[in-house]
Amino acid sequence: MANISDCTTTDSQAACAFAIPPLRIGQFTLAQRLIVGTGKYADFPTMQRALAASGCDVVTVAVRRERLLDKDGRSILEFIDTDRYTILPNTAGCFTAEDAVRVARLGREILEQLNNAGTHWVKLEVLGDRKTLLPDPIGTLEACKELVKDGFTVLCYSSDDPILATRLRDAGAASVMPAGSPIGTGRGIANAPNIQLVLELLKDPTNGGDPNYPVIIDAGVGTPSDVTIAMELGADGVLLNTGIAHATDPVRMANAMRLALEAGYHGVRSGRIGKKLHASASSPWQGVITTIPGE
Amino acid sequence: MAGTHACSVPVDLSFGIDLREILALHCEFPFPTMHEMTITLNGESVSLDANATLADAIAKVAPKSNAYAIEVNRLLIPRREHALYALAQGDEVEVVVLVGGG
Repeated sequence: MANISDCTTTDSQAACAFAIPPLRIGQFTLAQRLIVGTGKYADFPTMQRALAASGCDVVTVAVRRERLLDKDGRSILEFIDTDRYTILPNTAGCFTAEDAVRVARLGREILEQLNNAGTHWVKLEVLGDRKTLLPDPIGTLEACKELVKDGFTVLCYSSDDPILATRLRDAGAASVMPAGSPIGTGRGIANAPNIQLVLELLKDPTNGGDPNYPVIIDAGVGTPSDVTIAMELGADGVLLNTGIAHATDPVRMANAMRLALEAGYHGVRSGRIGKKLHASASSPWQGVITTIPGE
Repeated sequence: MAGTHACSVPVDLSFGIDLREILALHCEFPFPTMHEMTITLNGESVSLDANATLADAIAKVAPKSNAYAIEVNRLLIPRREHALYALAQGDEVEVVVLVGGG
């Protein structure tokens, strides 16, 4: 991996690539920090192309009654290369801790049959109601404890509540994944200060945090700029589905989301300028040949 | 989860008449014959041979790939137990697979 400071004008563009290091979540290592869902696509071939364009190496799936086949009689697994992608099963549709634990175990059982690397992790969702799909914080915490006890690496979908985030971490969640805004709304990062507080409490050593503790923004992300903002706030990654799947051109949008994540990752590490009320000219005043008003 | 249907009458076949076939006419729920039982398979009522195993129930669903998992009465049943797992009247079986999700 090229070190940014090593790049010189004589380096080739490829050698000078600002490579983004892998993200560690428990015993899992993600080469890419954009995690993409597999729901809501118009068809499986479109999903397959969008996943490829996103560059992701982790995809989320759900566990459901034997709706194995799409309308053309095909399984989603025919369109997901299980050697290439690590599957992250979710507990979407669960409204109690008990059901979430059931579904997580079923997902693990299925992935064992596939011999997929994602067998022992889960994206935990315990939802409060069907209208908002906001997380039930108490049920999420209960289920997290139970699944950690059962050996799962738990990635916890959460609200953007900073204190809950610390409670989930303390319960053993390998990653806390606060929602930018409710699932599928495309409203982006609705409460950036709360996300900042989540990041501060989980990552700042002076607050008892660990800079390497992974925080992923999950849900509500509608546009590439939302992804960039999430990364600029200091998140380690972004998980999204609808923003790509329901775009008019999902494949192109997937590519845009990938680029946006890279932009945000590098942007936040580049030391942005401070905001000022008054302008600061980029061209020198010295040597101007014009009349400057007021001078 | 057995014993959930409304008709529970001792059966006497000594006269060569299967009373259950007669009673079935008066029951809301399909009344199993002597050699059948009724289970719930992915939310639907299904008749199986009284000696059916979990593997027999799964065969009814006929998953297209090996990537499925099974619950009976909300408990996960590991793959190695399917062939020998004896189902009982009223069991609730779920056959689940992976689908698209976020």
